Amino acid sequence: MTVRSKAFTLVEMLVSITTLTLIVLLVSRLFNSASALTTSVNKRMDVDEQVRPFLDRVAIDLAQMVKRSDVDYFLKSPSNTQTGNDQIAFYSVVSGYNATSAGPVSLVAYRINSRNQAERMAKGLIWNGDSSTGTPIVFMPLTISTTWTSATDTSADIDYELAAPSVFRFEYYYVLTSGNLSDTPWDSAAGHTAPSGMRDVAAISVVIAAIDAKSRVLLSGTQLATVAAGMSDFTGSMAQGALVARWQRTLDATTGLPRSAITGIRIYQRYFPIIQ
Amino acid sequence: MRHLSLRRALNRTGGAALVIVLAFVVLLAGIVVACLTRMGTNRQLAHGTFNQANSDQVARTALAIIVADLKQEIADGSSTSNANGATIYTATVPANMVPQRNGTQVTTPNLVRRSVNSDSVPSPGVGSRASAVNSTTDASSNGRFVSTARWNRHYLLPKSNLTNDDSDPVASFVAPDWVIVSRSGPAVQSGIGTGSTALNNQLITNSNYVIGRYAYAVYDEGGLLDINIAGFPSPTPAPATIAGRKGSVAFADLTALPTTGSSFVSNTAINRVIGWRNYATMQPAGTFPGFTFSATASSAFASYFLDPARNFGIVASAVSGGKTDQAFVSRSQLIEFRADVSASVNMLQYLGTFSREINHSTWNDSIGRLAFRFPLSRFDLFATTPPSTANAALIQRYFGLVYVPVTGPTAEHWQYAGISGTGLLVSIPPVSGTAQTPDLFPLLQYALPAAAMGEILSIGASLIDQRDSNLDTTWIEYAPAGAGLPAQKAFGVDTNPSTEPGAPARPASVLVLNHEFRSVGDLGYAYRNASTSIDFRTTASNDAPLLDLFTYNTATPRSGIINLNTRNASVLAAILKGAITTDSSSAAVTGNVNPTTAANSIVSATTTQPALGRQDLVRLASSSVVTNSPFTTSEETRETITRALAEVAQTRTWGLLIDVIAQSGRYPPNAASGPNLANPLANFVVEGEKRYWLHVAIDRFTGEIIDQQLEAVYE
Repeated sequence: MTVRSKAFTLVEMLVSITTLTLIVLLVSRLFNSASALTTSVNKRMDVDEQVRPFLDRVAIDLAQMVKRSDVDYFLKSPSNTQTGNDQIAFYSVVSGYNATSAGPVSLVAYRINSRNQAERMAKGLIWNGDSSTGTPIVFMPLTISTTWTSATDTSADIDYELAAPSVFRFEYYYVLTSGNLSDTPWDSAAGHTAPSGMRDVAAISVVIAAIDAKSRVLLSGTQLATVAAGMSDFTGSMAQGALVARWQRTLDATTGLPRSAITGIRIYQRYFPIIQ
Repeated sequence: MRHLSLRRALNRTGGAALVIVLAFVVLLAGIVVACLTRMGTNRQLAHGTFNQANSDQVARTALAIIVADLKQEIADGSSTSNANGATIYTATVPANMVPQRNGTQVTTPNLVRRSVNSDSVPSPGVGSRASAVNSTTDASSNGRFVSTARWNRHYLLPKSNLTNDDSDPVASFVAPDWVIVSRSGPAVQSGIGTGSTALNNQLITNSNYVIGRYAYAVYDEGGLLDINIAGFPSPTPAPATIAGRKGSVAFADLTALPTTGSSFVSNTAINRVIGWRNYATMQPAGTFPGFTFSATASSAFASYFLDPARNFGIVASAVSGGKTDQAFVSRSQLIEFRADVSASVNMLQYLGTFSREINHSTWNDSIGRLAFRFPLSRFDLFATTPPSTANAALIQRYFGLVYVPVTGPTAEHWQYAGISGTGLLVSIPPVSGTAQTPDLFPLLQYALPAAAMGEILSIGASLIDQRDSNLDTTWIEYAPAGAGLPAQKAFGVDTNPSTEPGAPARPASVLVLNHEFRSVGDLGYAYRNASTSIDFRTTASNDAPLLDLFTYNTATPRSGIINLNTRNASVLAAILKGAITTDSSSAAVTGNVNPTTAANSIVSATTTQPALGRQDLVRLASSSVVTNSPFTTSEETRETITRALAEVAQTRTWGLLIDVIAQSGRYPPNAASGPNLANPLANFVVEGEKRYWLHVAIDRFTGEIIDQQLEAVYE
């Protein structure tokens, strides 16, 4: 008796290989799609996770801002037009860094550093007359720029912390109590010429651009700075939402840079009420 | 056998494929799960931010409603008139001069009202709309409640335990009830309800769906000492009369403020505040908090606070060593400062950080009739005679008087010619129109309409005698009573009697200051008709309006002025302590017992009948109110009350601190069934919380907000 070994026929083999190939293709497509989706979502969440606490921090700092006509503010204004990334510095009743004992008031400042990252300084201010190292809050005529230079320029200060590495563009403007948008923190139409405790400002609108870490590595620092420079400053003639739209158009029209990097840039805007 | 081996081989191959496929599936599922988990976490974080924003909205809405209710209360408790295009609200009864209080809180004098269910706030007060859910005793569904210690985080309520730093208030304090906010706003709710109108039904058309709740308490911060101005250093600025003559709340003696048992605020604690606050002005020795002061420093302190043009709402512009003066920018800062300088925590119940007042009279129709109060500093033009050319011009402008030098036997004197005339006036021009800036005599006539022209001029001459540096009696010529008659004369009262013919008899002994006026109360030293002094000490005094029409400090709006209707007697005691009772000897109110007793009497009187204006000080200084020494010795000592309080007190502004805690959240679908079965309204799910202290100054006569400061509270 001859025992015949059972074997697949050629047809069976072809069918099975084809089926297996199809399955592998389908699974790999599914995997790729899922991977692309999760990567995209993760990139967005990466940015969101940095931007949300950053904007929340700004909200707390501004909510606690010291609003008095006899203290100085370092703000964008006609005498301090800020081209490109903006800087802001003010006193706020929040905790700050101080090697020794400090009072509850801090000098808070925000800026974009040379590495295209958002920095926040919260310098804990000592009590007046304290022998500890540091300076207390100063009232007018002393100004922030003359007392704490680093709060108003790009010089180094140990009290700066990296607030949001993904944020590379920082712009703000004012919503006046008159309802107008302005790059001047007072109502010139009312004859005012100084912030005077922010009496004319109903809200500060902060507009930022952020890029996730994976997209960021695709761009050099210079390229990112170029992208930031292409995102225009707010001007007083702009309407609500115009700045964000303009930034987005700029990004959409950007060429010569990896598209996957540009699409990783997200724009955020939040209004922070300034309640007297 | 071979068949079996082949089958096994085939099974192994099939198993491997299955494992590979399953591995792919597991990997894919893992990626998806990780992604979903992260998304879920992010969603929760975003939800948290959203809830915080929601609670913030509820809190600010609550504050707007509370302030609007207070303004409504002003309107409802007033008759209206028009002045300079603005509506003036005049209290229909004295009780409406102050915000209505719900309940008697003798032990919590700063507390004006709180949100409470079945609100019994007297009319015209507007009820709080609170439901029967207490913020302390009725915990939420997720266990959230506000302890009474948290409610007293500002230390405006007296503490239950005076020996520690805890903020637990006295047991009589009952925590506020929650005001439930639905889509249609705040309203008193009695239950969760059922169906499409239930508080927990999310149906888009259900306006009863609850979105949050808030609870609040309102405190009389205007009745407290503004620590940005109050208090003077030790050693006291020399001479002692500088502080004793008051005129500024800076000269309130904070050592009259009780802290623990029989203890009072210490000079050490006060110096720590002063050294920090007035650092650049005084340039003290030592470092924070151990400051010491030289005589020069104390003198600089006095000069700063006696500047009649400063509003004290902003700090001095002095700079010393890269440092400036300071101000407490928030109550939180004051609380932290107190802890850092180791002062008694119990002092916080007497201190505020925000005060504003419109420096304008309210007596009669003066709020529209006059542009501003008459500055007492104008009397300084008479300090020396003959006046300089410039002063002579100013004297005619502000007093309508023309100087006449000594001529033969006729002593130097003044002629009443009016602000622009040259001849003697036959009458005093009336004050008519609005926003007027009358010179002295029309103003006196406006305040004392029953007084004859001679009497008015006599009062003016006496006021000049009180201020000028010479000892000779001032007299004023005015138009003859008839044709062919000599000019008439009105005499003041000074140390040396006038030798002019017709000079009237005068008291056997006279009191003459011969120095500048520090307080409108000092006008009480002046005489009328060279006989009786201005009366600032009896309830029925006709001279009372004068207290409201003059001022030492001319700034407006200004800070540091205390509400005369304060229930916090220790605040008034601090002002009375150290006040000069007898100008000639510089005797003063000493100790803490006498000023506190008098202050209690004043608070009792204003509780029964609130003061309408500074003019009511004549009642509060009267023998029917203050009955203890040293205020009962003489007319002069009795008017110590008037002199000490007139310049630093007001009734026009409601200075309030509104403490509001707002929570965003919802009632769950099963709210009616637990966990609190007895009170389902307590079964609220708290999702976010926000607390604010709103410092607000509301003008009682216009209903306008003079100024406000919103202080976000982070605990």
